[in-house]
Amino acid sequence: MRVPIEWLKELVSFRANADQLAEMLTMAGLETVVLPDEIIDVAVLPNRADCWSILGIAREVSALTKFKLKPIKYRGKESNRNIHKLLKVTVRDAKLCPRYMARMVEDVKIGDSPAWLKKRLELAGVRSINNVVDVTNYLLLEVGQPMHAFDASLIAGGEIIVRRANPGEKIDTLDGVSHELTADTLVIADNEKAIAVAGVMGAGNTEISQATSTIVLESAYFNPVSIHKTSKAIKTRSESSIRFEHGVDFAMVETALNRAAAMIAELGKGRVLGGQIDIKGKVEKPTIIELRTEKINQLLGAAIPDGDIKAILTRLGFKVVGKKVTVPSYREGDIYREIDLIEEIARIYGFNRIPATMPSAAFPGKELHSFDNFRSQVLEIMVGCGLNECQTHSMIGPNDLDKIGQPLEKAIQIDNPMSIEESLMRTNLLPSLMNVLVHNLNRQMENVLLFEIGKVYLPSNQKLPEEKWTLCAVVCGSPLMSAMDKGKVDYFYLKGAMENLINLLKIRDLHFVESNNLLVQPGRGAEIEGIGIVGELHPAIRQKYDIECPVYFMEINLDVLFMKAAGDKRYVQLPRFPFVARDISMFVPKDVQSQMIGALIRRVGGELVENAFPFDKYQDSLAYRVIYRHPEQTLTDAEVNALHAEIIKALEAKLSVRVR
Amino acid sequence: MQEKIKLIENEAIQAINNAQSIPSLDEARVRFLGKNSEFMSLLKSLGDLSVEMRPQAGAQLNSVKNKLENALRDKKIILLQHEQQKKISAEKIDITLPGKGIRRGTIHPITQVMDEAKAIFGRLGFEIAEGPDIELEYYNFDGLNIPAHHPSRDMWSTFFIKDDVLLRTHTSPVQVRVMEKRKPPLAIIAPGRVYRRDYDATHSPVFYQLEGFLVDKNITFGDLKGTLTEFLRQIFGKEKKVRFRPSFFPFTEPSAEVDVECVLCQGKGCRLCKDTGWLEILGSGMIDPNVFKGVSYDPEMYSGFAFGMGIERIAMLKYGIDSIHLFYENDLRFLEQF
Repeated sequence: MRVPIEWLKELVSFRANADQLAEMLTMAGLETVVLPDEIIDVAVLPNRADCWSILGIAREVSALTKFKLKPIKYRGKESNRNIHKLLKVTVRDAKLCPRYMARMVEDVKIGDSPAWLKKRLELAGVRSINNVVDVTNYLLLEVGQPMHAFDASLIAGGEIIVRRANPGEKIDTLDGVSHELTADTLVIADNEKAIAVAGVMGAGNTEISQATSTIVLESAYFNPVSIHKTSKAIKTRSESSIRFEHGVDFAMVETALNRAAAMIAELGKGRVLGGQIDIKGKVEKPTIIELRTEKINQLLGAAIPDGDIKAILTRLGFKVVGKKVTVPSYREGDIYREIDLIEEIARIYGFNRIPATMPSAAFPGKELHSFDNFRSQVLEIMVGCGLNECQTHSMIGPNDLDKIGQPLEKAIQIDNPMSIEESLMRTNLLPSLMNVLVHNLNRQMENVLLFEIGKVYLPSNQKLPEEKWTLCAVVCGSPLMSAMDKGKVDYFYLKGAMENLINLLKIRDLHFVESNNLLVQPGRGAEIEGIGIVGELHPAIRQKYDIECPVYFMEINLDVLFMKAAGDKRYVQLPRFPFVARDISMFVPKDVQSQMIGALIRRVGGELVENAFPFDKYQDSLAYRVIYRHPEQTLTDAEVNALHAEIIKALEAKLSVRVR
Repeated sequence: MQEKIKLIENEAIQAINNAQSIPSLDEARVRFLGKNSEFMSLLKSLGDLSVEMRPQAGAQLNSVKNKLENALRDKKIILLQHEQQKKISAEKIDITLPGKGIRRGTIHPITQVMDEAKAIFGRLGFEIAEGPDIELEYYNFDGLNIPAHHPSRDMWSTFFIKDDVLLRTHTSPVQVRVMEKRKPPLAIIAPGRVYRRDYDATHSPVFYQLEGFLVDKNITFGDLKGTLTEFLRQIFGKEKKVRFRPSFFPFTEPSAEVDVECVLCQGKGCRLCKDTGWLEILGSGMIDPNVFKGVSYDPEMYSGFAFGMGIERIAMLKYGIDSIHLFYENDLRFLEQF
C-alpha cells in the first residue's frame, strides 16, 4: 500500500525521515520500502487488515514512536429533510450483512475534485474520477472503509434491499463485465434489480454521472467469508473486496460514512440529509483476553517488565485493566487469544532485543533415517560410475507418455495444471530424462550420462496414491575422462553400474533375465525381477526424440532394493590355502548364456569352486576361468583335474558347448 | 712368457675399455678369457713349464685373470647403467596428457545444498522425517490452522488432484503427521518437493523445501533465534549478520521472517537485495497453539518452533545463480560447475 508521508502526518506527528520510518515499520512486521515523492510502500500481511489504511499505519507509527494519534474529524451540518422519508433499507440476510448504514446528500454538483484531493489520490496510486467517487476512494485509503455511492434517482421504488441473488440473476458491474450470479452471492438491490455485488463492485445502472444530484452513500460490514467466495466466484477483486474479505472495522463503518457525507456535501456544494440508516444485528461485545506476564517472558525467553507490556498494548489501542486486555474493534478477528497478544508485545518490543539462545534440552539425533542414508549411497555409486545427477519436475504431459508407449490412464491427473505438458504426475522418470538428454544433445554435447533419484506416482486403492522412489539413468556417448581413450557406453556399461550398486549394497542372489519390456530393443535388455531393468532403448523410441546414437537406460525400484539391502555386514575369515585356476575355452551355441555356464560350473564343482567367471569372448567362443580352493588343505593337481574334467563333461552334455 | 702375459693383459684391458655395449664386452670376455683364448691355453700350458718357473708364472696368470675379471665386472655395471639410462630416456612420456578412467559424475546443486542443510541440522540434533508429495487437504491446510475459505489460504496457489487431495504447497504437513504419531521432545527436519502454481525467474512450480520443528517443554522464541542463527552462519559464513522480523504465517505465532545480510553487497545495498542490504531466507515462528490442539498436545505444557526454507533460493544465493529454472533444465555445462 502506497502511503504519502504528508497524509500520514495528518494523522500522527513523528520525527523520523522516510528511511527511518521504513526501517521502523519493517522491523515491526510491516515490510516497507521508500519510493520517490515522499511516499512509502507498505506490504500489509494478510492478518493485518487493520493496517490497510493510512489510519492503520498511523496507529502503528504511534505505537512505535509514542506520538499520539489525531482523531478523524468531520463537520456535522445537516439539512431539514430526513433520509427516512426518502429511502427504505431492508436487510434480508443479517448473517452475510451484519451492519448496513446509509446517508444521503442532496443538490450535489458532480464535477472534478479539487487539486489537493486529486494529488493525494494520485500519490496513493488511485485515478481521480469525480468529486463523489473520489471521496469514497479517499476514505477507503484513509480509514480503510470501502463505501459505495448510488444515484438516488436511479434506485427504483426508493428502497434498498440487501439480499442473496436469485439463481441466474444478471448484473453488469462498473468494470463493464457481465456476471451471472448464484444464490451464494449477496447483492444490493432496489425493487427491480440488483444495483451492486455487495462489497465487490457496483453496477452501471445506478452509477454517479453528471446528471446526478442526490446521492445515497452506503457504508457496511459484510461477512468476510462470503465476500471471499463471491470475489473468487465472479473472478473480480477490487480494493473493496480485498478489505471486506479480511474484515473491516465494525466501529469505523459509521465514522467513515459521516466523514464521507460531510466531504461530499462540502466539495459538491450540497447538503447532508438529516438522520442515518443503521441496520445492525446484535453487536458483539469486545473480546477480553486474560494475559499472564510470566507466560509472555517464558515463551519469548525474554524479561520484558510489566510496565512496558502495558504501555505497548495501550499504545496499540488495547485497554489493559489488571490481567484483562480488551481488544479494539479494528483488531477483532485477528486477536482473540493470549498468544496473539504475546506476538503484539514481541513485535513492538522488537524481535532483535530478545536474546538468542540454544534449546536447553538435549536433542540427540535419535534415529538415522536409513532410507535417506541409502539414497545417498545410491547417489554416490551412480556418480562414481560417471553419471550426472539431474532434478526434473514431477509432472509430465500426455505426449511424454505417448512417446515411450506408456498408458495415460495410470497417471494421476492434476485438476488445475499450468499447462498440458505438466498435467500428469509422472509414472516413470524416463520421459523427463529423455527430454534432458535431448536438451544436451541439441547443445553439441556428445557424452551425456544422466540419472535421477525421484518419486513416481501411481494410483492405489488408498485415499492417497502410491509414491515410489525410483532410480533412472539414461546414457549415450562415452563415460571416459579422455577423448584419447576410445570407448562408448553400451549395455555392459550400465549393467556394470547396476552390478556396482548391487555389490556395494551387499545384495546377493539377484539374477538377470532377458527382458521382454517394450522399451528395450529385443535381445539387448535384462531385468532383475521386481527390482529393475537395464538395456538399450528400442530404436523406435529414440527415433521419436530424433536421437541418432544408441541410448541405454536403467530403471530401479529403490524401495524394493532398500529392503534387500538392509542386511548387516559379516566378516568371513580369509582363506589360508592357495587357489588353483583352470581355464575352459569353448564354442557356445547361440542360445546358451554366460550366466547358465557359470551356474552349471558352480553346481557341478560344489564347494570347491570359489569363483567362475568369463574372461574372454570372441564370436561364438567363450573362455571361463574356474577358481578352485579347499578351505582346509592345499588342493593337489589330481584333485583339481578330476573335478575340472567332470565340469567339462557336464558343460558338453547339458549345454552342448564344445570345449576346445 | 712373462711378456706375453703382459701383452695379453694390455690388449684385454684396452678391449674392455673400448667395449660400448654388453655384447661387445661379452665378445672381449670370450676373446681374452674364453675357453679357446690364448690366456686359457697359457694357463693350460703351465704344466709344461719347469718346476722353478711354474709358481711365478701361475701367480702372474692368476693376478691377470683377477684383474681382467674385475675390469669386466666394473665395465658391465657401467654399461648396464648406461643402457638403463638410454631406456629411461626412450620411455619419456608427455605427463600433461589426460588421465584415464571413468570420469566422475556430479551431484546436483540442489542435492548438495540440501545435504549441507541436513548435515548442519543433524549436528544440532535434528532427525529426518518425510511425507507424501500428494497430500490431503487436511494436513496441508486445516491441520496447520488454515481453515477453508480463509483468505490466508490464498497465500499458496495450489495444484489440486481431486476432492480433498492436492500437491502439498509446503513441507509443513510433515509437522502434523509426525506430531500425530509421536510425543515431545521432538527435533525434526523434513526435506522434500513442494508445488505451487507460480512461474517466473525465481519461482518454479516444483521446488524443494526444508521444514524443521522442535517441540519440548520451555522452548522459547530465543531458542528459535539461536538455532536458526547458528544454521544460517554455518550455511552463509560466520561473519554474516542475521535479523528476525515479525511476519505472518497461520501456523506460527509469533511469526518471524529471517533475513541474512546480502551475500553480494555485504549489506551495503544492491540490486539483489533491492537496496535493503538484507535477503529474506526463511520463515519461522513459535508453533501456533491451534496446531498443537489439532494433534492433542497441551499448549500449556509444550511449546516449540518451526521453520521452512526454499532450497533453490539458498543455492541461488550461495552460488550466484539468477534463474531457478537452470536447476531443472539440467544442462551439463551447468551441472558440471558444481
